[in-house]
Amino acid sequence: MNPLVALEAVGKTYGSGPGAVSALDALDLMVPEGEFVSIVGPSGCGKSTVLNLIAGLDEPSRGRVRIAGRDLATMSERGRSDLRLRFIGFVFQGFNLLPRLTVERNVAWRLERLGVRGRALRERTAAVLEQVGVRSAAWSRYPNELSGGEQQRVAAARAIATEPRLLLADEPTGNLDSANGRMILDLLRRLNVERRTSVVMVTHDAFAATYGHRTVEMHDGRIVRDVGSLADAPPPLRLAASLRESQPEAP
Amino acid sequence: MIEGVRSVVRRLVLDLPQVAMAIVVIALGVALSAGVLLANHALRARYDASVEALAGAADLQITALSGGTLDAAVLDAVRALPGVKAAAPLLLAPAFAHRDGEVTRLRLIGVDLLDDATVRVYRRTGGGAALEDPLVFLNQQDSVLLTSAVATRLGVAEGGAFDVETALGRRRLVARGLLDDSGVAGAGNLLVMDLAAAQAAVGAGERVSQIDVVARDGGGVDALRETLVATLPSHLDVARVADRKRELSRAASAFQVMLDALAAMGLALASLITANRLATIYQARTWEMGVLRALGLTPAALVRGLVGEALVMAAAGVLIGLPLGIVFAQLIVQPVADTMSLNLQQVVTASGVAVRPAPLLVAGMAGLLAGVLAALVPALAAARAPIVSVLARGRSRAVSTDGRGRRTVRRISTAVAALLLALQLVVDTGALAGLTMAVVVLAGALAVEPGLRWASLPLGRLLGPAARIGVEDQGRAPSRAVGATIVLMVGVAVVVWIGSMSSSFEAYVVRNLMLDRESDLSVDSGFNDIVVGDDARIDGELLPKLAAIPGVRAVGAGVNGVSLRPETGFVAVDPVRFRDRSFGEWPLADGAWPDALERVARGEAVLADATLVARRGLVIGAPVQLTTPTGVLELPLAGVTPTKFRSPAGDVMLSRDLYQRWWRDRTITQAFVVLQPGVSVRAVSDAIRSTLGRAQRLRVLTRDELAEWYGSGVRSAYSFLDTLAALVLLVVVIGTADALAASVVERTREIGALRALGLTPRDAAAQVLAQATAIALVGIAVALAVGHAMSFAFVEGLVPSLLGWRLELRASWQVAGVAATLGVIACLLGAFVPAARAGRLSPITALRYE
Repeated sequence: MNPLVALEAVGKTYGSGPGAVSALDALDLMVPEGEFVSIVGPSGCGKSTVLNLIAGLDEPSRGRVRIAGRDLATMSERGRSDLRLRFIGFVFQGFNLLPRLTVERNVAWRLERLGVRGRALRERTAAVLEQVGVRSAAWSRYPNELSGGEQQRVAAARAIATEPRLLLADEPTGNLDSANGRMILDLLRRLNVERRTSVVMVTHDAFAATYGHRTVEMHDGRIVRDVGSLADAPPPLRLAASLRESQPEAP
Repeated sequence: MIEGVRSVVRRLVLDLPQVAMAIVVIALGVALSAGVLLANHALRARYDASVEALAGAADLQITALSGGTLDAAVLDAVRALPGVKAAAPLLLAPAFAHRDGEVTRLRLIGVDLLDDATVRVYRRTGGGAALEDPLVFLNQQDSVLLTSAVATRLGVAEGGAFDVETALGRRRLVARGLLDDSGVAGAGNLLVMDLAAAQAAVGAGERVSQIDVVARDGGGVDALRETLVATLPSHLDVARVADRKRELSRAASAFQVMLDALAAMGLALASLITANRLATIYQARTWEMGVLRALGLTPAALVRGLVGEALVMAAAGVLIGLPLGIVFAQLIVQPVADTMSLNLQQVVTASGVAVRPAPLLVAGMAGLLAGVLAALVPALAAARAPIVSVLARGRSRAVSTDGRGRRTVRRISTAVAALLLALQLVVDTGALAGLTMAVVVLAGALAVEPGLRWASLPLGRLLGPAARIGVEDQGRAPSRAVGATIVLMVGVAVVVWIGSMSSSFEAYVVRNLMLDRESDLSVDSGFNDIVVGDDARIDGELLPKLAAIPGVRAVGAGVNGVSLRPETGFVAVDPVRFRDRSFGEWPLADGAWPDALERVARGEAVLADATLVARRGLVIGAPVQLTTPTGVLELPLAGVTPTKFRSPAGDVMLSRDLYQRWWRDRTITQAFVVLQPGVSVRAVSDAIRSTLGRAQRLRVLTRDELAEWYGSGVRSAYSFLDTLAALVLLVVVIGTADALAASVVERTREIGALRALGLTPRDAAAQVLAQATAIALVGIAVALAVGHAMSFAFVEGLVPSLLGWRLELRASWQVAGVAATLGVIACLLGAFVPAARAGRLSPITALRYE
C-alpha cells in the first residue's frame, strides 16, 4: 500500500555558493494512513522544513515529496493550494487565527472556500467547534478575546473543518501552558483515533512527542532515529510516556 | 543640530522605499497648491495691472449709465471745467489678429494720442517717446502701437504690417511703434490706435467708451465729481476711479478665494495620505521604538525625532513640488483665466505665469506644515503606547472599535449638515453656504469608517469566500483604508461638485437663453464671446437685408446692454419676437398679467428676470426704472422670466422700439431668422454668409449650433475640471496603493497562514482587490452624496452671494458617472501592485514575518 506521505531522498539547501546552508540531507520518511508521527530534535535540525515540504509550502532542492501518491513537484501552485485546502490541516505554534474575523468565521471560511453555504455551513462549523470543545458563547467573539488554549482549539477546528486526511502540527503546544497543551495533544490523538486522520507533529517537547505512534528524531537535517514503539524509544521519551500514562485525559 | 539632521537623513535613506511615497505625495500636494496659487496670483496681478494701466493717473471716470458708449462731444464740456487738469477719451473694442491661421484676441483701444499721455503712461521699447513722429502716425489711418509682447506673438517688427479683424471686417494695419511692458501695456494684449481711426475701424461714429479725468493738483476729487454730476447729462455716470478699482477688486477676490480653497484642499489631501503613510512607517518601527523607550528615550524626544524626520521628508517633497507647481501653473493658467473671465464678465488675459516668490513661499510653507501635521498624530500614538505591549505586540494591529464618542460625533455632524442644508432653502448667505460645505465634508469623512464596516458583509458575500476575508478584515480594522477612502471621497466629491456647478450653469444658461431663441437661424457678430461676455453690436440695417433673402419668413432682433445706477441688465427685443411663437417662448412665473407679452411688445410694460425680482423685491405692477441717454424710462412690471444672465444684478426685457427711441441706437446684438416652411436651413445660412457675411464678421448658427455655442462657452470656462480630475485621480491611485500596501505588509503573517491553509496566490490577490473595491464603492457612494450636497449649498448659497446668479441645481450625472468609474479604476490600479505582492508572498516567509 502506498504511504500517505512519502519523502524520498529529500534534500533542501538554502542559498548558493559558499554561503549555502543545507537544511535537509537525503531524508527519507514514509507516513502511512492513520499514523501519528512526532518529529523531534533540537532547534534548527530541519523539523519545520520537513513539515513545510509535506504541505507543499516549500520545494525540495533534491528528491521527491509525494502526498497520497502524487508528486508535489508535478503540481501547480494552485494545485498545491487545493491540496492543502482539501487534504491537509495545519495547526501552528502561534495559532495564526485571523484577528479581525470572529471565531465562527475563522473556522467557516475554509468550508466556504469548498463551496459549503447557508445552513450546511453553519451546521458544519458549529459541529466542528463543538467537537474541539469551544463553547458556543465564544463563537461570535474575536480571537483576542479568548485564552491561548481556546485560540488553539479554534485553530484546530479550522484545521479539521474540511475533514483532512493529514494533519500537520508545528509545535502546537509551544505557546500554551501544560494544561492547555495537554488538552490540544489529547484532541490530536482523538482525531487520529476516531477519524483515522494522519498526524505529523513537530515538537521539541519530549512529553508531547509521546502522543505519537512513532517518533522520528532529527539532527542536522538527517533522521538519526525512527522508533515505532516506546520500547525502542530513548529513555527521555519512555519517561515522558510513563508520566502521560499516569495522568487522566484532559476533558 | 547638523549631526541631528544628518542622522535623520540617514534614517530616511534607510527607509527610502517607504518614505519615497510620502515625499511624492507631499510633492504633488505642493505642486497643486503652488500651481493654483501661481496661476491665481499671476491672473490677479494681470487683472489689477490691466485695471491700473487703463485707469492711469485718472481720478474720475465718466461712462454711460445706459451702458455702451457715450457721445465724445461731452469731452469739451468736461475740459472746460476749472477743476479738470486733463480729460482723455477712450474707446474699447475687441479685435482679432490673424497669423498663420492662428487668431489672437486683442483689446483695441482708441485714444487721443497727442493728449492721452497726461492720463496714461506710454513707454517705447528701448526708451524715448512713444511716437517718433506723431504727425506721421496720425496722418495714416492704419497706424497702431503694439506692446512688445503682442508684436512678438504676431511676428511683427516696428514698421511691419499685419491683418486685424474688427466689427467692420478685416483690415491691414502697420505697427508704427512698440511699447515696452510698463505703463499702459500692462493692460494686456493691447492694440493702440488714434481715437478717430479706431472709431472708424469699429464703426463707433463719434462715440467713446469712457472719459478719464485727472483733477487739478490741490483741487478736491469729490468736489470735481459733484461739479461733473451737476454739469453732465443725467444718463452719464461719474465714478471715482478708486471706488471702481475697489469694486473690481472685490469681485476678483471672491473668485480667488474659491481657487485658494482648491489649493488648500489639495494640500489637505496630501497631508492625509502622508499621515497614512507615516503611520504605516511608524507602526513598522513600533518594536524598535519600544526598545528605545525601554532604554530610556522619553516620549517627547521620540516625538521630536519623528516630527524631525517628517520635516526633512516634507522639505524633500517641497523641493520637488515647487518646480512641478511652476509647470502645472503654465498648464492651468488659460482655463483658469477663462473661468475668471466668465465669472467676472471681464476679459482676463493669460500670457504665461511669472514665477513669484510669495505663492511659492506659501505653498512651500504649507507643504512643510502638512508634513509636520501628518507626522504629529501617528508620532504621538507611537510615543504614548505602553512599552510592554509594544514589545509584546510587535507589528500586529489593534482591532478598531466604533466607540460611543465617535458615534455621537458622527450623528451630531450628520444632523448639523442636514440642518444647514435645509437652511439653504430659506437663507442664502455665502458664509452659511461655506460652513455647510465644510460640515458636509466632515460628516462624509466620519461616515467612511462605518461605511466600510457595513459594506464588508454584502460585498464579501458578493465577491466570494476569499475576497470576503479581505473585506471583513478591512471592515474590522479599517484605519488605513479609512484614510484612502476619505482621499477618494473628497477627490470625487470635489469633481462632482465642480461638475454639477458647470452642469448647472450650462443647463441653466442654455435652457434659459434658448427659450426665446427657437428660430431657425441666429445671426450675430463673430466677436461675441460668451466666456468674456462681449456684446459686440452689428448695424440694424442688417435686418431688412436679412428679410430680403429668399426663403426668410420673419426676422426679429435683440439688443443687450447694462444700464447703471442701479445696475440693471436689459434685453430689448423686437415686438415680433413677443408675438410670433416661431421665435421662441417667454414662460412667465405665476401672477403675470394675462396680456403681459402684448403689453411689453407695445412698449407699455417690461418683464424682469427672477434674479432682478429677488434682488429688488419687485412685485407685478411695480415700476421698473432704467437710465437711458435721454432720461429715466419707467414702466410697470408685467411678468417674471427665468434668469437671463446679462447682469448679475438681474435683467429687464423691453421692446426694441422703446430702446431705439430712448437710447437713440439702431444697433443690434443678435438677429433671429424664421424660415418659410420647407426651406433648407443650410441653404439660407450659406446665402447669409456669402452675401452679408462678406462685409463684416457675422456668425450664422442654426438652433442646435446656437445651443451648443452657449454650452461650449460655459464648458470651456470649466475645462480646468479635467486637469483637476486627473490630479485627483492620481492622488487617489497613490492613496489607495499606499493604504493597501500598508495593509498587505501588516497582514503578511495572516496571508501566510491563509496560504498554508489552502488559499491560492490568486485568492490572496483577490482579497486585496476586494479591499480596493470596498474602498472605491464606499468612497464613491459617500462622495456622490457629499458632492451633491456641496453643489446644493454652493448653488443655493454661494453663487447668489458671490456672483449674483440664481441657478437651479442640475446634477451632472455624466460627470458623476465618469468620476465614479475613474475612481473605481484608480482604486483598482492602486491595488494592483499590493495585490500582486500579496499573491507573490512566499507562505514560509510570510509565516516567519514578525
